[in-house]
Amino acid sequence: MTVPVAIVGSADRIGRDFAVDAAVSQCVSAALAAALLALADIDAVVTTGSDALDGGMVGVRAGIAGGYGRELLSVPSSGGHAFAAAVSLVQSGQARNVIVAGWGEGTKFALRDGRGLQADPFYARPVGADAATMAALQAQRLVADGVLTVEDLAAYGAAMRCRAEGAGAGAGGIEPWLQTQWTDGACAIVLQTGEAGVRVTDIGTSFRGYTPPADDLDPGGWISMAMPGMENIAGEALTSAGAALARSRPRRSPITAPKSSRSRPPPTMISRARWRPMPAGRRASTAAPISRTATRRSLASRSTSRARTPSPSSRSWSRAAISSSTTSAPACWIARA
Amino acid sequence: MTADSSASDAEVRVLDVRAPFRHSAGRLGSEFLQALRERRLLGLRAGDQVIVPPRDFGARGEWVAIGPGARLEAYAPADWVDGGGSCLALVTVDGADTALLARLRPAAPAGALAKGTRLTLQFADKPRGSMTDFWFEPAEAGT
Repeated sequence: MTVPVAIVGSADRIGRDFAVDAAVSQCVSAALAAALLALADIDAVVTTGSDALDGGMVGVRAGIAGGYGRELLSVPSSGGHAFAAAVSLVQSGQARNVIVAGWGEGTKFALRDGRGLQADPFYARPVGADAATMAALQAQRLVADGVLTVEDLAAYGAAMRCRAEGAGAGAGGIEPWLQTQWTDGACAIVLQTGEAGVRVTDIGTSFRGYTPPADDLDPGGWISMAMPGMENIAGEALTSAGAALARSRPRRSPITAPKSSRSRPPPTMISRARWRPMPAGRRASTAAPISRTATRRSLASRSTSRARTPSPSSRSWSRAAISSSTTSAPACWIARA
Repeated sequence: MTADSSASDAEVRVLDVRAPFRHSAGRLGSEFLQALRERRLLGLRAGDQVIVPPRDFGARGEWVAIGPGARLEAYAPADWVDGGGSCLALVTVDGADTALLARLRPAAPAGALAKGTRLTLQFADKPRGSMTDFWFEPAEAGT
């Protein structure tokens, strides 16, 4: 039996024109205050950053997250992996209080987006794949398959721009909803043993590799298990953005889940769209406040309200079916000046 | 020259640092890329699907020739490819079940081509065993 884990404090800062290292320290302090803990109470620090950005630095700069003199684990791949690793630290009894701190200066990509290096070196990179184009191709297929409409994507893009606090326009001629909106950010989350706060019931199947069930070592099964939850979360995010997601059609998959996985209910995911829409036209300020969002009381009430959330099958977004495009749909939606 | 030369005296040279390395394309990738040198596009029948380019799911597979006909799924401009003369496209080659990322020539403006447009496979005169050895073009009417 694993130890129960809960989020007892968190803080984040999103914007630009601020020192990210200072923002990390501020977020850590704010998250600890929300958790009613001091840095001395922390048993282990987990630092994280995107492997395409600051991931290589989160280990050597752990001091800004309170890592000096403490058990340190650096996860320079993604926040999701770091969260899963931190949960594992608590579940396994290696720590009682853990703080996860992540940061990234996304605005670096505004100068040069180097994510093309992440493309497959034998098949995709020689052709010329880059992140923006691949995202555009995927979006067009979703539109053509009737999963999303251009209006949905436009609403989502507008919401993301709002989330990025009014990032500047992208390259000239690209439709606004396809423009990348880079921003800087820092985040800290305090995890604790026990039931108080937002209980972590699952780390998400994408990170199952950290703690695979003994009787289910087939990653294909994990993916199959995750799909209902992923659809649920995608629907919530789109609903927040004023858009909708149609139920995806069953697809053939080269990977078949084992019977044991198929018979299980979908996992409950902890990750929720927690962003707050910013008022239109709001610009990032150099004094953007740290948003300290998770106190024990507010987290407890949020957890209670979530328990009353209707099941995914009854969500309103599932009823907002998207009209399906057909073979007459244009295959390219990007307009260059 | 004195020991405390000013910054304006500093010699600045551009150093071109390269880090070439050798990496195996793997069991399936090697077969796939070598076939391109012979102007053959191969798919891998794995389970009930023909996958291109091949991915190793650990199961036994069977190579099948695919194309030259194909169907356009989506495309997007890519100014950096072929000097702007090509687009990047997702293409489902006849005989395959998965879409392939490939070049589409000539570069088409937005909305000019529809999903489902018939395409045809073209190979370079001197293929070298690379994904740039081939591209797709809109098929002539009736083909």
